[in-house]
Amino acid sequence: MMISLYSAATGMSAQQFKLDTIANNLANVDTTGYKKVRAEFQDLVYQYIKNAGTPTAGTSRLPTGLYVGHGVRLAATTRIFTLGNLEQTGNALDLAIAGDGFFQVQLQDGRIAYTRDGSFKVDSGGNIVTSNGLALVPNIVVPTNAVAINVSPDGIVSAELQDGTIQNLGTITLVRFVNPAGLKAIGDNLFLATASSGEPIEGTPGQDGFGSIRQGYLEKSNVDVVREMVDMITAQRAYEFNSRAIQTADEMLRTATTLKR
Amino acid sequence: MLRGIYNSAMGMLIDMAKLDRISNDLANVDTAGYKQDREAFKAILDRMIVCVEPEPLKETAVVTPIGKLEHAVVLDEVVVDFTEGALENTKVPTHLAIDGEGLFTVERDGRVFYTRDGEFTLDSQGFLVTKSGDRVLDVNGNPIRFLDGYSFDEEGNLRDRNGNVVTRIGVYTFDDPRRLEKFGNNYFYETERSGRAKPSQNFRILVGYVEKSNVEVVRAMVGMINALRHYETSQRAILVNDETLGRLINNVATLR
Repeated sequence: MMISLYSAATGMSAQQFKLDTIANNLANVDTTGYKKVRAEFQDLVYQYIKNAGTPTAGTSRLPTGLYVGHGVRLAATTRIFTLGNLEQTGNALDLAIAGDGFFQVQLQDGRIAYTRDGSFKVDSGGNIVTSNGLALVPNIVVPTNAVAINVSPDGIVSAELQDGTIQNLGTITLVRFVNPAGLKAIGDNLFLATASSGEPIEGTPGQDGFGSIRQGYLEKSNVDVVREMVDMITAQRAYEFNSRAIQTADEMLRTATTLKR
Repeated sequence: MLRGIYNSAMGMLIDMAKLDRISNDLANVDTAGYKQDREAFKAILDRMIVCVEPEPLKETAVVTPIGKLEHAVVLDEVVVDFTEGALENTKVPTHLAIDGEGLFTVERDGRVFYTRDGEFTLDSQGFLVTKSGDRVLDVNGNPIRFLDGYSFDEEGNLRDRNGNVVTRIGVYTFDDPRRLEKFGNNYFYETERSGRAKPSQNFRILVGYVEKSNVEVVRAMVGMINALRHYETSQRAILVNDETLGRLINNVATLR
């Protein structure tokens, strides 16, 4: 049968997948620390019917090849780690990273996960935890008699106690990755390190290329709604074009069957 | 038998090949750095058609040439159309687009490929890689390490945090880039007819941009209509030929 039936089908499924990523981006348009995902495509293998340079007659050689492509495949979904807008909330434990870096949190099973979502809380034991109750690493304990918590841009956490004294509680460190796009998203705004992201590099906020910490701010998602809408239009149209190719191939085959009466 | 049947059938085969090509273009309408294909056809087997009038009295024949008739048309070659695709601003520092002539070089299993797809990322060691994980090469053929604070400028120089040039990205062009062959994965490789790769002079690098596919959908749709209608016409021609043949067999010189 015709190759075009199958290559157009790969085009349709690729666009379908693109729409899936767009829908997920749009669903997370208001998720703190969410980073948008891009679907990236590559062309599939080519079938060479004639290879260039094949001798034809005597010393003559075929000038160019004759090939036909087999469609498209999804190559990667890349997470784009550009900075989202910072929104002022006024909460003392809402922390945003203005620049590069991730907060470290400890999962239930002891592994370390990474997040840009800085909407921290204090649990019953006084530990600083994420919205899901995962403890911040390094662990910081807020004393019960604290009246205010202050986080400096370089990550030093201090508490003002009832008697007016200032107590240093510890320092929030950040980590960076050579290739943050290689991190594995596990939901809940968390990421895990992988072989392609590289090992985490720990550092102090505001130094060596790390972003500084902004207290009382949250980083919104970096999804650009207008762009997603435009991508949605192109995905839909590309889907239609490919379906037309399938229809045309179908009509050709039907025409061929009417040859024999 | 009638020549027309075979001619028309060849025409139908070509329309199918055309549609296969168009479908591949349409499937890649959203593939970064994809270049559409153009096909060329040629007529083969030109034959001189002559009229032979025998003159029995002289025992000779008068041969009058009528003209040439092509017996078939075949798909001859497919060439790559290297017009520039639209640019999309992604703001990602490792996304590069070439404005002008040339292609990026990448290495895969010791073999060098060329690509216009600058949707690069980094591997765990900080090397600039394509989506397939193949390393992008600089002008000297070495992989490029994109460390912290590095950035590319318009000339393709990789500069460190202090603005010192570390290396320059390799951008190569060919005498006849249309004759490059496609490998898949958005890669091209050089052929005898494309000529050897030589450094491109005439380009600028756009950082944070991705070159989209250059498939022209209107042209593709028109091509599709064209192929379909020509296909149907050829089919009609075969039917008519067939009918003629039927008449010849059944009606001519029947004894009634």
